[in-house]
Amino acid sequence: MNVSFWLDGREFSLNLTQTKTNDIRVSLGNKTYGVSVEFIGKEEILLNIDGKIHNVMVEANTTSYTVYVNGQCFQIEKKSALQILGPKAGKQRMANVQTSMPGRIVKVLMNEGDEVEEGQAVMILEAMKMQNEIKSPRSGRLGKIGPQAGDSVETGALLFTIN
Amino acid sequence: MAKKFKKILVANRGEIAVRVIRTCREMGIIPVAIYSDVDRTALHVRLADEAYSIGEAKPSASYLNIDKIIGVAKECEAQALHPGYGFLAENPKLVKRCEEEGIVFIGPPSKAMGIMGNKTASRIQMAEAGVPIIPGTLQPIEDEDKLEAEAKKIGFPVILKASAGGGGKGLRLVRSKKELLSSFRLAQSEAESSFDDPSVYIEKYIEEPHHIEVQILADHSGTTVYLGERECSIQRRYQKVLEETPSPFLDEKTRHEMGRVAVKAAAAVDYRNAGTVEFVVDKYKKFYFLEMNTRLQVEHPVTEMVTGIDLVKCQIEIAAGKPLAFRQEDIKPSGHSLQCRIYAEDPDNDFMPSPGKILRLRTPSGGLGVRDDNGVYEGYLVPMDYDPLLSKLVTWGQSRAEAIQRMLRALSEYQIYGIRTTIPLFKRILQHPQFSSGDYNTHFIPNLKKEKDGDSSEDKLVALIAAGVKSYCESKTGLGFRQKQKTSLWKAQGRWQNQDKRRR
Repeated sequence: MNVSFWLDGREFSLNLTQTKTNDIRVSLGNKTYGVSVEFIGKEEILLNIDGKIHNVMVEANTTSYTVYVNGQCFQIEKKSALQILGPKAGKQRMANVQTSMPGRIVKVLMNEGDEVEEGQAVMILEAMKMQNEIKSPRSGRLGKIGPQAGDSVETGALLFTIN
Repeated sequence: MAKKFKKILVANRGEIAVRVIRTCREMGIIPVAIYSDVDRTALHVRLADEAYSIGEAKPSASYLNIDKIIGVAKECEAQALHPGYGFLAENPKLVKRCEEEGIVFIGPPSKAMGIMGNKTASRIQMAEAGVPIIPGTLQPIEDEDKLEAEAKKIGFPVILKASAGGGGKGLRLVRSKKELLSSFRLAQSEAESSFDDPSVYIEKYIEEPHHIEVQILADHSGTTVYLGERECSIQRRYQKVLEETPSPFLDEKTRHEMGRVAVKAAAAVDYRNAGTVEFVVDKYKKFYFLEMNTRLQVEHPVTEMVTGIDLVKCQIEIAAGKPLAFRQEDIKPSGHSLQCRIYAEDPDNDFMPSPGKILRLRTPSGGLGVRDDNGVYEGYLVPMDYDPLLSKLVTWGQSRAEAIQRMLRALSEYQIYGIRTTIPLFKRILQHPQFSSGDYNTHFIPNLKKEKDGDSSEDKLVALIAAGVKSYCESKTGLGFRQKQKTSLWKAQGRWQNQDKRRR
């Protein structure tokens, strides 16, 4: 079976072949790995990759996998229709800035239609006693601004768009 | 006359409430918890004997609401109240209310707390008591003509600080006379635009500063002892994330001198109970009083590990009127201890908070010298409303190197899945040569961030393979086979093998 993933803006293609009940041969790039798989729980997997033990956790979402390895968290995107359209479409999607955490909007620093530069703060979100600047991921013109100062937002809520 | 407490109200939440509850239980005292709406199922509630609701999630309605908390204490007939740290722990108003209502406040008297809570008042009092303070003007400079004389008196380099500033904003470093005036004007206009107040004062700039604090205990007869120091220079956003004792930077002579000065500082305000005197120490090992924290500190466990003294137990006994069970010469710290604060924050993304559900939690229990003070459990939803501290992982070793190795081992076993935490950051800090050498100061984390990110290419590869395996298994299950009874062969196999392992 062949699968393609996106991670940190790069595409990775994997080939997976089951060799035994619990064994899979995985090819990635020009390398092949012998992987033995044990499910500890629904999401927790014990991987033995060429003799090395890895305790990982894989959460399956609609368009991505959230993988926890060695205390680190990786967001691995499944290759979706959007990405097949090319990098442009992917970029387009990036212009929707969503919140990765729930919180309260303390202040909106800019107005719809303003020119914004990459890394410029657009609003301030407060969560867990801390105020965090929500910065623009790229330069452009601010389209819609979702929440107003004082609003509570849930994870995944649209904060603003950049055209 | 020593009192006997039957019941203590723990007026806090999270890991510190859990910490206090544990000692109460060991002392045969009934611990009573309070909780806000989002904390109904929090660990401190689950571990308490009694728990009372105090309202909405927002702190002002619950954990900061003195009337409600006093109401609960009276209703449940608690004889004493432990404030933990944060929230109301350093609010003299709560202490006063307790004093009026006949509830013993486990902490210092309101007067000592009041003096130490005020930056200017405490510095004046400390200077009078002969405790060294950072040379500076204290008051804003109004006259540009006086600027140079003041700066000269203090000695370059100096730092210009906005009176209304805080959190590292509105600071300007001046190394020589010729930058002074222009920097002062800039600092004023910055202060004006940032804080709506142009006042600026001068202070001596401390080069390569260390943040080192001394734990003290004072009983009601006024006997005051120090229990060694804690090195707290590993900070992000001017907040501590990793502490250790003893400080690898101090020598024996400075250590005891700081201890004696800390005792003097406490005595000057008739301090009682546990407290911490914070110092800033420059690269020449000259130390200056910064402030006194009139409560139990987050990092108190490292002191407990090397002294074998339960500080919460001491607090409760002192509050009950008992004299200290030991004298200064009885306190002989042994070995080395480290604490890592595991926060629900993303260290790779400017320490953004990461609240959410903890899907899986494995803590490194087992082995000598590992302690995990946490306030969470598997399946717990970390609320967005409070401090993001999940756990304090503490290790002890006979030497510093052993404590570090033990911490790395414990961190490698610590698994928190579902939210991002500071665990990867600690692995990087502890393996950094500058940290192992012990030669670090408060600039460590900001400098670490500038260095190239740690090599995570192997973890990345593992993550990709894991995602591949997951999608392979999903494809085998097929869309029509999602029902629970159709357990995939893979899962059945996994479970079977697991049981087999357990049987062995």
